[in-house]
Amino acid sequence: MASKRLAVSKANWKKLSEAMMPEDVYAQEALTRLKTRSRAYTARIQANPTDLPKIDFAGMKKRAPEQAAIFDALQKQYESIKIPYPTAEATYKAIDAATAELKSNIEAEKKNLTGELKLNSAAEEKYAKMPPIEHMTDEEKMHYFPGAFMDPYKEGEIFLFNDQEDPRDPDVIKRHSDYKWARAYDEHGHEPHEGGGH
Amino acid sequence: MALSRSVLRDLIGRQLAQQVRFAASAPATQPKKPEALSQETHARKHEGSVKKVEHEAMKVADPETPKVTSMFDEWGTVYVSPYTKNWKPMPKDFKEHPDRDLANFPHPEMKLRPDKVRLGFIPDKWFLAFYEKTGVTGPYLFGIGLWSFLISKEIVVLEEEMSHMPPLLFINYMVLRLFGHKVEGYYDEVIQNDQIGPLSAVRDQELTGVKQFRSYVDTANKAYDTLLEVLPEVRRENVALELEAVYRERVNQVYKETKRRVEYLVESESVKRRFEQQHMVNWIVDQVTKSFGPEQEKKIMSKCIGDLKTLAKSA
Repeated sequence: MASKRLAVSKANWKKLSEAMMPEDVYAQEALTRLKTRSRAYTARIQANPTDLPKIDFAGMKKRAPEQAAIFDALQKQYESIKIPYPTAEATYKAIDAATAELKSNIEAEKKNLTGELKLNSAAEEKYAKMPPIEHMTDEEKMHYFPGAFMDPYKEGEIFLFNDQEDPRDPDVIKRHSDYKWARAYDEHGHEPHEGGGH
Repeated sequence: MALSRSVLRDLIGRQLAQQVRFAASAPATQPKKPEALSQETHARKHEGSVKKVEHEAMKVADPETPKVTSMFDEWGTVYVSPYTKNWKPMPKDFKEHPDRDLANFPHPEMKLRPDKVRLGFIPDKWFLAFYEKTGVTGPYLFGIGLWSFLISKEIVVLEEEMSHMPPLLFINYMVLRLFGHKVEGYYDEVIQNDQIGPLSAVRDQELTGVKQFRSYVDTANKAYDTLLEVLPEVRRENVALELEAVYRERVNQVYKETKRRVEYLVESESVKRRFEQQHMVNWIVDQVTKSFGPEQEKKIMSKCIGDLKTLAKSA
């Protein structure tokens, strides 16, 4: 550790800050925290000397010859002292573990994104194979634009009780199939609510 | 041909009139079958030749009086759609599935213009079918002969209600020529704004969405790569900087403490020596002054004053 002493940060902070979006508040906060820590450590480093500076014992001995014995003892101690360089093996191991976890998380996220991209690009492929809209029959329009063209004779009539429900959702169809929501009161005479009434 | 050339032209079109004229003078050969003109080319041919001539009665001296217009100003205009020129033709070999039978079930293609009709309701195709056998006037003579046969034999009895038919046909023709282009324009807008427009918008939206998502995925991947590359390095650097800071603080502490002790020793020594010196000086001065007698003191005083006077004179 003593051989690899660091006085100034050499990492590419600019690249890291450019990679994070300004709207990503969490990432920006983390970045500022890292930066402030780095700067604080650098300030402390610059305020203190690199290595043990020399003390002029000979001059002092001249000025106070009676204390020469004490000076000699002090000099011996001063020049033989070994200040221990602090170690942080556990922290480095924790960093490695965190990096591994980050890598696995990022790989999972990348997989997710590629899957989503595949799903989305299916639309592009569909539109590449589509005939021109002006020459499509109504059936073809229903096939290529399912929500825009709906033929009740083909798909059945659909009653929407609210605008947010997708009539093609099987849960919605199941719910509407036995007219649960259309009933004003259930068999006990209460209004039907999900998860209990008043 | 007893009919005049202008009437012929109105009845059968300019091309056919030319052919008839030359057919009478040329030797008997197979008559050339004319092409069926679509109304759009028909309209385009006449676009430049139609001149809007203002009658003398319409020209007014006072320009403030309103110009008289009538619905007959736009008689027989042909609506040219601004949207159909952007339409792409249906690809001939398009198959939704490899099993699609294009020979027996070809794709229906929406025509840009309807087929040509004579007098507003008789298709031109029927006239062409007659042309090879009977010439130009064949279909008309056929119609006249057929109806005269039916009426004379009283197969079709001319009843009271049948008198409604000719005026109705005439009115149909008038309405078609006067307002047909407006109706066509209206439905053209309807189709564009309610069907083709929204669906095209949906398609364009989805495609732009896919593009945006793809670019987002690219930037996200790059950001993840830089994060993996730079963040562990930054963390390790922070740890290293902290260690260095702590070490330097320890060094500083050792130095300061040692320096403090050394300076204390030196300072204490100097203080002691200074005190000794001072004490000695005071003691010596006291002893000396004690050793002087009163006469000795007077003598020394007068000598000192005499020295001072001489010094003052010389200065």
